Amino acid sequence: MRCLLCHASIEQDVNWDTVLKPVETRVMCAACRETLPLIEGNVCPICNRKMDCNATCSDCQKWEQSDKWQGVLKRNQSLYHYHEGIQEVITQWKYRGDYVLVKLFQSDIERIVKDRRKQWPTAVVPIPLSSERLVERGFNQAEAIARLMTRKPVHLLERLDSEKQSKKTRYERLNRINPFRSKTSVPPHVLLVDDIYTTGATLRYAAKALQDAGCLHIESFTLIRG
Amino acid sequence: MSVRLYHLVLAFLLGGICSLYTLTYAGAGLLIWWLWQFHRHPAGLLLLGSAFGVGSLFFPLFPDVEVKEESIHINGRIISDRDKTPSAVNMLFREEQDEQLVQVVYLNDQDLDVPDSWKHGAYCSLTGSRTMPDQARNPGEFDYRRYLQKQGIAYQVILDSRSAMTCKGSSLLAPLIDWRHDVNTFMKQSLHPEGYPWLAALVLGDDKALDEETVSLFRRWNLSHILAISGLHIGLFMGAVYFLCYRSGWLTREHAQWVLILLIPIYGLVAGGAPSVIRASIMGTIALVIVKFKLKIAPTDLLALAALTMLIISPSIIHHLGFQFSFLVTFSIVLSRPLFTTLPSGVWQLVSLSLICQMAILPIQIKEFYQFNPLSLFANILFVPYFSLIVIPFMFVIFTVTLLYSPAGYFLSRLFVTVHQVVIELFTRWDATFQFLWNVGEISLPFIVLYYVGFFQFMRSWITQKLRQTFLFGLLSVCVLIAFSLKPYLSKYGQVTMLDIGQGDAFVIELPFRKGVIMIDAAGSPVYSDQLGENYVFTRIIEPFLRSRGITTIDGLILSHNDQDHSGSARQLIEAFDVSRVYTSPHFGRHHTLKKPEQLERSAHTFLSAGQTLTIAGYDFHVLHPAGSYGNANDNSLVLSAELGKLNWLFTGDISTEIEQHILKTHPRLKADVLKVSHHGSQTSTHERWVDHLNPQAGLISVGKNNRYGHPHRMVTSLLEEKKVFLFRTDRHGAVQYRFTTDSGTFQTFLPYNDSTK
Repeated sequence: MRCLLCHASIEQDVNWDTVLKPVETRVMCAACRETLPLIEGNVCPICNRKMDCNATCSDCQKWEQSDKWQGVLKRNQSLYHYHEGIQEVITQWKYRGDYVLVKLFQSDIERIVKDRRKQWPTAVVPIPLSSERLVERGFNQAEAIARLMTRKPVHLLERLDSEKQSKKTRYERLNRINPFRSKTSVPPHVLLVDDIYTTGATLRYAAKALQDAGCLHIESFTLIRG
Repeated sequence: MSVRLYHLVLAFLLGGICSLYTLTYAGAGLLIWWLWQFHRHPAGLLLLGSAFGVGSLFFPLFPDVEVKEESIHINGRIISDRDKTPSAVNMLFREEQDEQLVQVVYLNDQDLDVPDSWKHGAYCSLTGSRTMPDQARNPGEFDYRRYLQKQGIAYQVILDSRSAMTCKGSSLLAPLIDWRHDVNTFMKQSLHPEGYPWLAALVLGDDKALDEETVSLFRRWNLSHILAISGLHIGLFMGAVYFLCYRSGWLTREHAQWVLILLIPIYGLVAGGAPSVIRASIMGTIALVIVKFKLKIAPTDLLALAALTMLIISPSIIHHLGFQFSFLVTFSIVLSRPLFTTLPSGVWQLVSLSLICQMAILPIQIKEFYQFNPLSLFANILFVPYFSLIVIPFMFVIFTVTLLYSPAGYFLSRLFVTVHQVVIELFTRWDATFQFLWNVGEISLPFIVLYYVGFFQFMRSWITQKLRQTFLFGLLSVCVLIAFSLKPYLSKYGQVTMLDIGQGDAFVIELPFRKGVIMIDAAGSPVYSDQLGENYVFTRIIEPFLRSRGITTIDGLILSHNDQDHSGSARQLIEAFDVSRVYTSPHFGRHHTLKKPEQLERSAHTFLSAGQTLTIAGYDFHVLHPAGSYGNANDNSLVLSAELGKLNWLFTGDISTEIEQHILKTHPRLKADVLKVSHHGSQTSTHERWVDHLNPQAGLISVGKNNRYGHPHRMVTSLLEEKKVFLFRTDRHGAVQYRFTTDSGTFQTFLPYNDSTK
């Protein structure tokens, strides 16, 4: 078996723990595993950003002080820290269409889903792409993640604009017309899924759309906390 | 794919083990575990289940078939090397007509060499007497018959003379085997006599030349694996050959590898072909071939391949202790490899390696030998490096040098002996100081399974660095053994065992809750029993029985009188066990079997006379006889009466009818439910009046099968049968046991009861 990222051969040693279990299909070598560092230690209780202590970060304080955005997104949970290495992995996956790389995150995602089974809302809603973008990329990365979390992701949202978030400033992201439109019938609790949480604007717009449609409690999960 | 080769071989083996030992629950537990682990991999699960099923049907059960003893004439092929013991030469033989496996035995009393034509693979025609050894007759005794049956041997043929078997032809392996014998003889002639046995054992895999003292010393300290050639030797051999061929610049790396691929199997055969050697040779050869073809194989799969090869060639090898030890230890080491990299220093690695190896085979070892030495861990830490780094490489050097120029070999072997004797001397002293043998007893299967579950979890927690769990599961494994050791102390059952030691008496009384262990008589071997060894009654019957029961202390050894067939094993018993007190009559006389008087002093010695009562742990033994001396040893026998399990027992030694009358006169109200029939059923004892008066329900006759005295006498047995006394005879029933509580008890015989009509 070879590493999905660097194509080095992966040696699988059987030990006392694994001997009576099925062969684990590993997808990464130990070195490449290092490029996906899990978030541990103190984090902001709202957005999951790494902090020195368990206090709410300044960004979230701003969000929560605004009347419009207060309590829209209850909590975000992310898997990995952002850094250059992970950016390369995401670029290869998302923009260069190496869809199979989603397997890199599979075991970590399955673990966190198992851990949060009781806390998380059951309706898993991926952030949609606009139709142009979907044609361009061939797949929706949020959808791919959601499919690892549940067998039936719920599609409640529709995206109107086609502009790339990554090309916008923070101000532009925060003050514009909501690009998302929600279906009218929504469950009371929803877990939004996306690939990356950068400013939190995308997730909050989506949450806002759902809230306006009648959702009471909205959380989110992203692969990376930017 | 969710399963690998080793998964399937493991399932196959476990299936076999579960069916051979009827471990229904363990097998079911394992399958449920796999069902849980593999529920997402139906194909893997199916394969595992099939392998388990095939394994459970694959291994033959070898039922105990009665062999008709007669003179026969058979043809077939020799399929093994000649195995020479001091008294016989044994060979495996494939009989042509029924394709049965036969052991051909040539008893060579004169130490003659066997004819040269008896080669491996030779086609032979032979005439001899068909037989099969007796099954074990006592609990704890080694069952030679079962041992042969488990190897698939249908019967033995004893050759009367060299001319009873004529052979011609040979196999391809024959020259190699002959060469091995020649080299062995050459080494024996060339080397220092103290050095040769070590070379024979460590290079040629022939440990017969090592003296028994050394072998048992190494066994006591779990070091037998060093004396047997193992993977370690093959590894060293491979290293040495590779070094000589490649590093010397003589051959290229590729050629050196080819040389090894050819040499390893040859060395495996020269080294005697024990399972550990075959395992290592197969693994070494496959590993090299795989490297040659630039393929890859995981160590677990390599090991599995070796096991599968050996099991397919000879399924009965699953019963071979060497096979079990070799694969268990190697598999454990392979699975523990990640652990060794996490340990800080070489010393710790060695300690844990040694611990894992010892723990992996512990229950099997206890099942076989009933005891182990917890300190053997340290012995292994000291001796494994000494042997693997110094002794074994040096032996290979001596071997090579001797082949080239034997006087130099002699010099080297002398040098070796000078150093090695000091080491063995120190070890012997150490052995005398640290005799902490833990006598667990004949551990039962559920405890073994429980131990392995604990051990497995212990290793799992250790490898995943869960130290608290590691400690707890380690403790659990030890507790399983402790629990088994404590079982007799918690059991309300006691038992009286009349051991079948042949012609003579040996009774072992274990009191309920193991409050005490009392022996009445401890017969020795008959004087004429040189073929079985002079101490065989003690070493093969009494000692294994006591060890299998987890007995280390004997609270009272009562010797009825001073005869070889009643007290012959007393000395060894006192030496090997903790005998608190020896009881005899004052007229016992100088004990000729207790040659050194100080042997008796080690245990307090008390005289018992008529009228006294000996009380051990609340159980009374009333002494009825002798009040004085009656002239001969038999008539001076201690006669004891005791109540055990609501029955009155009368132990009579060898008293004659006159003494019986005398006892009846002095004890007119004496009754006995269980009568030990005096003097092995001789007609000089057991008078009709004696039986009428005592009115026993059961009579115990301790008597040798086909003994030369004609005991028990027909008059005695018919008298007892006429009086409706139920007879238990060791010559027919083997050991006889009475299992009792304070209120009741039952008799059972070790040999199946329907055999008794023979």
